[in-house]
Amino acid sequence: MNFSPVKSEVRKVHTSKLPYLLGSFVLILLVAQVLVSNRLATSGLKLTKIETEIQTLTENSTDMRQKIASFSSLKTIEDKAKGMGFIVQTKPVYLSQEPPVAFDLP
Amino acid sequence: MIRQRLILICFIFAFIIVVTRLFYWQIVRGVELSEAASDQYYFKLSLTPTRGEILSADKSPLVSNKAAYQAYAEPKKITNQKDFAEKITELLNLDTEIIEERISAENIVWAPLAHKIDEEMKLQLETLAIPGLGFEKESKRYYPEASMAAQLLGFVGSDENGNDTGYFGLEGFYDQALKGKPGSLILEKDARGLPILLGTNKRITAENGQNLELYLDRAVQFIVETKLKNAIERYGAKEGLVVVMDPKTGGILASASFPAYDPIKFSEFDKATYLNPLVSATYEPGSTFKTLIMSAGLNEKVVEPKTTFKEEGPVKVSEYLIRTWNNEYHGEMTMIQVLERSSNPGMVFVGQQLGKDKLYDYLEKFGIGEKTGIDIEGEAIAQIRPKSEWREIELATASFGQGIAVTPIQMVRAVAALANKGDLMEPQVVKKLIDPRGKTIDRQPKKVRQVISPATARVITEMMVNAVDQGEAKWAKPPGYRIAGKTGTAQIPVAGHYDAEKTIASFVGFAPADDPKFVMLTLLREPSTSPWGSETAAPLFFAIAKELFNYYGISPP
Repeated sequence: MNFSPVKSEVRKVHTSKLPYLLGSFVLILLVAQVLVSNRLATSGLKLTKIETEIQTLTENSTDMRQKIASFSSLKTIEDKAKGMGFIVQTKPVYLSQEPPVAFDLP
Repeated sequence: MIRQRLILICFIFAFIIVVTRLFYWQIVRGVELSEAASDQYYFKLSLTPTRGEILSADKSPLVSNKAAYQAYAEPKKITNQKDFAEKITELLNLDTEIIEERISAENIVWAPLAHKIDEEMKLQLETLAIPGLGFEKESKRYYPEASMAAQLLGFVGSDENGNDTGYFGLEGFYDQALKGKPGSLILEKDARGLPILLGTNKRITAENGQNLELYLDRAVQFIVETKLKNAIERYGAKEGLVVVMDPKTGGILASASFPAYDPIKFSEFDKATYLNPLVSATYEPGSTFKTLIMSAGLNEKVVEPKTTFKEEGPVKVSEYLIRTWNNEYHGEMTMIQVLERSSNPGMVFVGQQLGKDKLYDYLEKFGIGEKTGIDIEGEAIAQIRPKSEWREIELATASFGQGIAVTPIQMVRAVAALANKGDLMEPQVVKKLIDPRGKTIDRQPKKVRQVISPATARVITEMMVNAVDQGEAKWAKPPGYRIAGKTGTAQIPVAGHYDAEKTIASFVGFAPADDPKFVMLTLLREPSTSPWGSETAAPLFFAIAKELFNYYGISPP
C-alpha cells in the first residue's frame, strides 16, 4: 500500500495557509496604520506647543539683539566713558617725530 | 391604474425638485460654500518676513527691528463703547470720534486701532483690562544710534495698503531687498483649533529681508556729526553738510547734514528734511571748482605749474568784468599762485587756454551734469547748459565755479578722482548685501573712467597742498600734515542775480596727500559770522581731519 499523499493533495495543504498569512499581514498593517494615524492626528497639540516655543525663543533673541545694540551704541559708550573719568583726547605725541619736550639735550 | 401613475408622477416630480436643489447647492453655490467651509476647518496665516538690518562697517546695527504690537478692537465683546473709546484714545493720543466710528460700524468683528505700539504702552493698555481690546504682534524699526545718519538711512513708513515701505535714503533705494518675501501657512485644524498633521499642510516659509553692510564708519560719522553741529552754532549757518569718502573705493565713510530729522518721529518734521542734500541739493561750487579746471589745463598741457599770468586788474569778458575775490591784484603769478590766491582772472586765463570744447569735455569726464549712480534714493542732477549755448561768459564763469551747479556728491567724487590717480569712482554707500542664510553679495568698487593721468594727479595734488599751506586757510591747518585742499566761497543766485551778502562757504580736500585715506567736502550755507570759506568751512574741515588723523593713527610725515 502506498501511504504517501498525492502531489495535488500536498499542494492543496500548502496553498491553503497562504491566504491566512496574507490576511494576517494586511490586518497587522491596517491596525498599525490606525495606531500611527491616531497618534499623528492627536499630535497637533505638541506641534502647537513647539511652534509657540520657537516663536518665544525668536522673540527673546530679537530682544537680546536689541539690548546688545543699545548697550554698544556710541552714545552709551561715550556716556559710560565720561562716567569712568575718560576725557577727550587733546594732542597726541607721535614717537616718530621730535618730542615736544627737551629730551635731546646736548 | 390612474392612482399608480399619479404616485409615479409625484415621485418623479419630487426627484426633479431634489436634483434641482442639489444642483443649486453643489454647482451654482458650490465654490462659495466650499470656501466658507474651508474657513472653519482651515487655519490660514500670512507669515510676515523680518525686515533686513542696516549695519555699519564694523557690523554694528544702525537700523534694526524690535517687537511692537498692533492694538485692535473686537466690537462684539465691547460692553461700553464710549468708555472704551475714551480710555483708549487717552493713552494712545487718538481722535475719540474716529475710534467710536470704527467700533460702532455694523457687522464689524475686528477693527484696527493703532500700529507699532511698544511693549510699555501695551502693558499700560493691558492694565486697563478693557473687554474687546486685543493685540497682535508686529515689528518696528529701532535705531540704536538714535538719529545718526538719518538722511542717509531714510525711514520706514506705510504704503497705501498699510504695509511697511522704505522711503528716501537706503530704506527707499533698497526697499525690495530689505523687505523680504512674505510666506503663508495653511493648516487643517480640528474642533479645538489644533493642527491635524495628517490633513492639508501647506507652508511657504517667509524669506526675511537682506541685511545691508555699509562703508559707513560709526566713529567717523559720530565725529562728523559732532563737529558739524558745533560749526553750525559757531558760524551761525542756516544749513551745513559734510561728506567723507574713500577715494580709492568710492565708499562713503560718513555723511551728515543739518537740518535733519529723527527717523522714529519722521512725521513730526518738515518733509523738506527727508531729502538728503548730499544727492538732492544743488549749489554753485565756487573756487573749489578751480581744482578741476586747473587739473584739466595741466592734463591737456595748455598750462603748466610754472606758466605765468599777469593779474593786473579785472578781466573783461564780453560786457562783464571778472574781479578777484578781494579786488586785490598781484601782478605776474604762476599757476601755483593762481590756485593759492584763488585768482578768478587767473582761472579765466586757464579756461580760455583750454577752450570751450575741451573745458566742456572735462566737465563731462568729471561727471558734472550726470548722476553719480550712488545707491541712495532721490539723486538729482543739475543739467549743464548745452555746449552750443555757451558764450564767452559761460566759459569764464565756469572756470571759477560760478554759473554752474553741482550736487555735493558730484563735487566730492570729482575731487576724489584727483586723489585717486585720476580715476573717477562710482560712490557707494552699501558694501555688502547679506541674505538670511548668510550668503554675502559684495558690491565691488566701480571705476567709471580715467579723467586725468596719474602724473597730472600728482601735480595738482602738490598745487593743492601748496594752496592749503600758503593760502587763506593756513592758520586752521593741523601742523605737520600734508593736506591737499581748496577753499570756496560762492555767491548764491537769487532771482536772476547774485545776492550781495549771502554765500555758500565750502572746503574740499583729501589727506594724507601722498596716500589719501579720505576725501572730504564741508559746506556751510549762509554762515553769519563770516561769508568766507577760509574762515568757516575750512576750519570745520581741519577740525574733522585732525580727529580722523587720530582715529586712523596717521602721524605727520
